Amino acid sequence: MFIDNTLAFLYSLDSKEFLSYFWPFIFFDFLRYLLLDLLVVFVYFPKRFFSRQKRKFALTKLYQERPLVSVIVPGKNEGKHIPRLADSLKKQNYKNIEIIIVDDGSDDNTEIICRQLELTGNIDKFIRNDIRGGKASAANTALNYSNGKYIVHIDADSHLYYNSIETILVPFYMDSSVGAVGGDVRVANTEISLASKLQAIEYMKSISTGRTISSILGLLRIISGAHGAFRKDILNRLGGWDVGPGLDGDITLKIRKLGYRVVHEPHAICFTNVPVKFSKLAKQRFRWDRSMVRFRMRKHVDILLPSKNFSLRNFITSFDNLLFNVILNLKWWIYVIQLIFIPSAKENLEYIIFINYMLYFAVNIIEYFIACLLYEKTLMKNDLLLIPFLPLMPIYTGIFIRLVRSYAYLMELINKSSYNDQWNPWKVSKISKQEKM
Amino acid sequence: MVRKIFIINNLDNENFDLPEQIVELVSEQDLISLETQTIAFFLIDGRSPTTKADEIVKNIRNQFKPGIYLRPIVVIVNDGEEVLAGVDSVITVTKMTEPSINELISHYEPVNQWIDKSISHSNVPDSGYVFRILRLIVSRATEFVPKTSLKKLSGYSYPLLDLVGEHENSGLFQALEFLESQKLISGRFVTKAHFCCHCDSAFLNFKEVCPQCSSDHLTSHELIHHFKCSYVGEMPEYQNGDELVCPKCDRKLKHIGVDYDKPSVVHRCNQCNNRFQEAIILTQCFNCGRSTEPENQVLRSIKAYKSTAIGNNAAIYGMDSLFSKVLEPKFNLFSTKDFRRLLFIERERIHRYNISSSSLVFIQFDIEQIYIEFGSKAQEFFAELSEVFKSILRNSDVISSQNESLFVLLLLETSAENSKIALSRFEEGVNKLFIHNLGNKLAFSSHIEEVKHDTELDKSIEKFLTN
Repeated sequence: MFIDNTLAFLYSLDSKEFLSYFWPFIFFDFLRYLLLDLLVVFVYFPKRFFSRQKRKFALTKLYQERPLVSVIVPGKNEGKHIPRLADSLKKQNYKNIEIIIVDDGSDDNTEIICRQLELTGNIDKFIRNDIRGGKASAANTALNYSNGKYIVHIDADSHLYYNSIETILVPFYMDSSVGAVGGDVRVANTEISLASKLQAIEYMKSISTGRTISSILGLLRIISGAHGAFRKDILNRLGGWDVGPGLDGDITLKIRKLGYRVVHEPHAICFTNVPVKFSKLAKQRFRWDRSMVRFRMRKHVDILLPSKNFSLRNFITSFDNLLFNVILNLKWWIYVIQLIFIPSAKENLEYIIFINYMLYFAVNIIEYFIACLLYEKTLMKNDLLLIPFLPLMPIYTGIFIRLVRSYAYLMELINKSSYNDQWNPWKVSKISKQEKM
Repeated sequence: MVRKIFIINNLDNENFDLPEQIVELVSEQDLISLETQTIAFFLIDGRSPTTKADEIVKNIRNQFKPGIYLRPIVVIVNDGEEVLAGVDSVITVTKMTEPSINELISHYEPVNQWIDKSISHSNVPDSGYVFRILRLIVSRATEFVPKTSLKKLSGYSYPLLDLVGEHENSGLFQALEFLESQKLISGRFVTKAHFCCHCDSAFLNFKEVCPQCSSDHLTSHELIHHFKCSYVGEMPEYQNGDELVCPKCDRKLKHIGVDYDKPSVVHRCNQCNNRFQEAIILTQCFNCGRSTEPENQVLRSIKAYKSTAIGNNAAIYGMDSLFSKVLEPKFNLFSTKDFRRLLFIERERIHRYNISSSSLVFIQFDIEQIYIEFGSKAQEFFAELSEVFKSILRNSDVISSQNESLFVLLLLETSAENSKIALSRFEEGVNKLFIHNLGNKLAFSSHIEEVKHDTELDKSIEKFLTN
């Protein structure tokens, strides 16, 4: 009955009415996500096919040169994850790597675990900072003690697919202007909870597909801290990472500002553990989203302004990010107000919500299958088991994530709340706030 | 009987004003033929290096006659000089007066009386190093406290015992440990020390070395974390004259804790350029030069020792008076090593055929009580006690003495139940013996354990003793 009424409502709409009721989907989300996702099919696959010889040649070049790669892992209280990570690194088919773990003032048994791993040769170097300095300082400590030509940054709660290091290095040998390569981050603990399952789908869409498209367009704005490769000379030039949160996005922009290309490699796979509770997930996203305001709108606002170093690509990268994440996040609230206060919309609210849900559900299905196509041989059984959870995605991204994001932007814009985040030690946050960083 | 001081090598160029009746001038060569019972102590002039007092002391302490080597030795020294090895006490020239000498004679009278008593029992020469050490300890009736010594390879010295025998100090430590294990002396913990596992030297250099190349040419640097830009580097990277300047953002660092901190320290190896936090600790021996990990060096408890009742008895009546010595010819006591081997064979046999069982019986006496109660009669009592042992043992049974008071019996083809019967018979016999001689029971504990596939002698003994 409800479906019949909904269809009747839909058929009753002329094109003008249809646009006025579903403008956020048609003008923004459909264009922004679905059409761009199709670039994977029509641009990425042909490009990858035609560059396969170049890729093969680059791989040969990599093995001829066989550079030392420093895998750096900064973290606090992450000892329990390190043995698995070290094991996955030892099993890499690219062997010339050194593993450097930096303990950022852990107060658990991380030091004992890592010293043991160092003693048994499972990791090459373990540096323990007794005083916590924040993730950036731990990453910089590791950088200071690394000897590799390339630096691969991995989060401690992650582990790598067997050919991940090799795959993430190939882009450097395909194009000398590549300064950093982002690895594909997939969810390791998918089966644990509903929250982790929904994040797994989200990662497939936003990281695997989303970043591949950004990379095609030359607009990639973040190399995830969970898995990213950098040229060491560039990191040294930049003095390493700056204070976070959001240090991975920050360093990506800084590399772009130096004129280097930043690309995403969807087959350099890293599995990471995501929050298994919605409350923890909300906290994580709250932190991530605030850093968007802090870094794009404050620290790197120069990208948006005309200057002698102005770069159109960098401008688009930041503008696109701001437009779709911050500004268009507001559109939802305008849309909500429209639905509530415009009588004709109010009368048909249930049908409008249901049609919106169905539209977004359909988009999610298409995006999911595009991601599956992108994974090729690396598509796993766990990824397919996510299909039953696709109907929840419009609620997850449309309501949960959006609410957290709106709140994060608001708090950061009004309150600069990221400076009070315990993610950094208070003394570091205090200085960052004083310096307006 | 008047005791005299025996002055070794002449002192006639000095006028010490000592009455002739208490002084006897002898040469080193005369030592062997001395009438020992009149010696109060030997006096040696050690003021001049040409006298070679230490050699004379060594000569005395290495005589075989107990009436000679056990006697107190006093050395005349210059003001402020310390007691020499092997010497009981020192005296300065100003104190070489009759009253002081008489005082010393009285002071050493108990020691001399003990020596006389010991000699009266048996005056045969002592050649055994361990027994000589025991007798010296017992004769002085005092606690032998170790002293740190730069002159000794072992770093510790028991001055009076040092010149006995030709052994280096390790021999002395081993002798003391053996005597303690036999309950002839008791040890009081003083300290612990590491000794070289190759040459037993206590002079070890503990040093931090590079885990990669083992070089000790290391430099340590503090790490500095600049809060503002998150740069982390070693101190020299920041040093700019007297100031600290961040190499990343060129900011001058102000105050530790305010805009920077020092989260850790990193070592740099100047040999191989390796950088690390956990240096390896190695010990290098000053004597043999070999390097070893500290955990592989010998860690020994350094103890102060004094004699026990068993030791007192053995020192007078000889080691043969010990209970284990009495038992040995009768039962052919097995050494612990041989006993362990036999036990191993037996447990494997039982495990393989699984048709019979054997038992271990542990018996522990308060042997000190026996020595205290029986004194010189202890040996006779032991002979009677050995007869009680004989009553429960068959020719096929095996007995081993762990020390004077702990005996382990392996009763072959005897179940725990049958062992219990034998043990109760033994208990009855011992108590009868004790009540007959002293009117009360002897305190002793016992335990029976069936031999199983996993039986291990040391674990079983430990279990018995802890229970």
